[in-house]
Amino acid sequence: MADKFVLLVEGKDDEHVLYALLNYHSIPRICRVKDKQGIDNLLGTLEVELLGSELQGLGIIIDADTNIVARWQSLSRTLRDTGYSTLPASPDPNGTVINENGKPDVGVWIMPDNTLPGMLEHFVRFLVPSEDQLWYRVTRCIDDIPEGERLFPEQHLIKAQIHTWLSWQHEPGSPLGLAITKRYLEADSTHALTLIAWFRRLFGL
Amino acid sequence: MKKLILNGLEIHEYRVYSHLQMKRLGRVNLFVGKNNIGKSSVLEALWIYSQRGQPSSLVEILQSRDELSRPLPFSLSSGSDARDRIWDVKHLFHGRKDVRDHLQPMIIGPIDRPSASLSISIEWFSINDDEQGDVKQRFIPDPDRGTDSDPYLVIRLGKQRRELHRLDRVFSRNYRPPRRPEFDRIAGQFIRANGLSSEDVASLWDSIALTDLEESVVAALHLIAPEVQRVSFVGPQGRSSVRVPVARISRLNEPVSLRSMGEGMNRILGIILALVNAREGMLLVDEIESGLHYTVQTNVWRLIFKLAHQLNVQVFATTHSWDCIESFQKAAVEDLAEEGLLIRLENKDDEVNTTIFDEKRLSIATKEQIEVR
Repeated sequence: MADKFVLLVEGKDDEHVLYALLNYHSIPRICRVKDKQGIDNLLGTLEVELLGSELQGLGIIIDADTNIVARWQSLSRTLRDTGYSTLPASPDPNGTVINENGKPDVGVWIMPDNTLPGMLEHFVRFLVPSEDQLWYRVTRCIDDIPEGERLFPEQHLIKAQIHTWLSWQHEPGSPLGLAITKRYLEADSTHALTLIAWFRRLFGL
Repeated sequence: MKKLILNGLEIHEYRVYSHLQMKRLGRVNLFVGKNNIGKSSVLEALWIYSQRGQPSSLVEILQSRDELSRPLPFSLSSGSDARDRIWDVKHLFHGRKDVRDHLQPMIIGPIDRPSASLSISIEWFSINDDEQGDVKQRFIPDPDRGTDSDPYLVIRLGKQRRELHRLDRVFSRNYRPPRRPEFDRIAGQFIRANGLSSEDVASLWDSIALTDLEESVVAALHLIAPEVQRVSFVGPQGRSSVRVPVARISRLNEPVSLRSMGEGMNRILGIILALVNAREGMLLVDEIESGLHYTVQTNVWRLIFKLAHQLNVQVFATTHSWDCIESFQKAAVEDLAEEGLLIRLENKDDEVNTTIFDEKRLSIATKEQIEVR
């Protein structure tokens, strides 16, 4: 159970998307992925995760949600409390990697792209092929739903869009990871490549 | 919560440790870490501390690790061959350097409290013969080791208290010098990895037989065998020269040898007997999980926490086993009266560091399956 490389994620979907991208690019899954079921538990257990006895590298993938500055600050605070002293003031747009002597390397990726507010589904949106014809129809269709009949909260509009788009593919209703494997989503889009490069940089691959 | 004997620990120049510091200690402390990191050495250092450097405890430690190059003589002889064994004391000091060079003293004690720390060194003294007839001998320090000076084991407790033991006497059998009263020994029991000897177990039993503590021992055995009603020691019988534990079992007319009931019974008996005999003191157990099936370990820890609290014993144990850590964590979190700490020893830049997992960190580590060993 001694894990040298660990990746913390907020939910199962992050794990599936990442695995699908790694598979596509033939990158070994050298890390153990831990689903922390939400940001609070992820931050609350981070200090102890960093004390794992064989740990060499730890990656963290979280959502920016509405306020990326606040998210970065709360994460930075937790890392500083555990002794990391060289944290940048704001996240690296290419994904942050912190190497400090005598401590495990720490990598941070804030969905969607370390810059914008948003979540995993915003990142997935970047993987929709550029020549795609459906996306426009999806957005228009959802926009056409009258106010009282839209049951999802406004901040989850992107989720409604992504899952609608997925339900209109060859095999309707593929989950996010599988949609990459089935090539509905593009694993070599710029954003996917940046995430993969961050992963390789962090774990020395 | 009653006061702990040690709230923290600092060790200088003992075995692998040139310097080791533990900023915190709890009522029950479990040491983990890789082989060879020196978990047993920490227990040894604690033992030496509790015994106030008792010379026989030092020799026993060397013996238990096969570090004596020759058997101890029954009496002092002057042959150089016999004298050479005294240099085996070097194994206790960091780096195993020749103690004839000027060695740093070994220091064991609480952090930043020199007045309560034990220091052991080898120093040379000559005895002033001018005052022959006088009962009081005068020891003249001789750092240059002239021909008429001898090496002594020098034990200091704080700055004021000092004892000298001529090293060749320390290394002779049955050297049990009277201790100075100010070297007040801390009650303690030390169970090494190979367990207690039958003689030790029998004598621990004798000191609690027919007291209330007997019931705690029976309660401990119930954790494995609920059918045990009473325990006693019998013998010597046949070829065996020692007394052995027997139990009265419900539905049986004859007592049954405890050893016949499995290794776990003996192990629990030893641990609990040592614990109840360490009242107001320290219990040290190396590889505590050995012989104990994982299904009983949580209950054993629960009992250890309870008795440690009742009898004001500070417990220090080592383990390699994840089951043991998990069961320790469970019992520690449940037990609200006393604190359990898991302390990991690890190498970092040629130094041994400690990482302390308190109960909060431990429950996270267990829940999130984080390797703490």
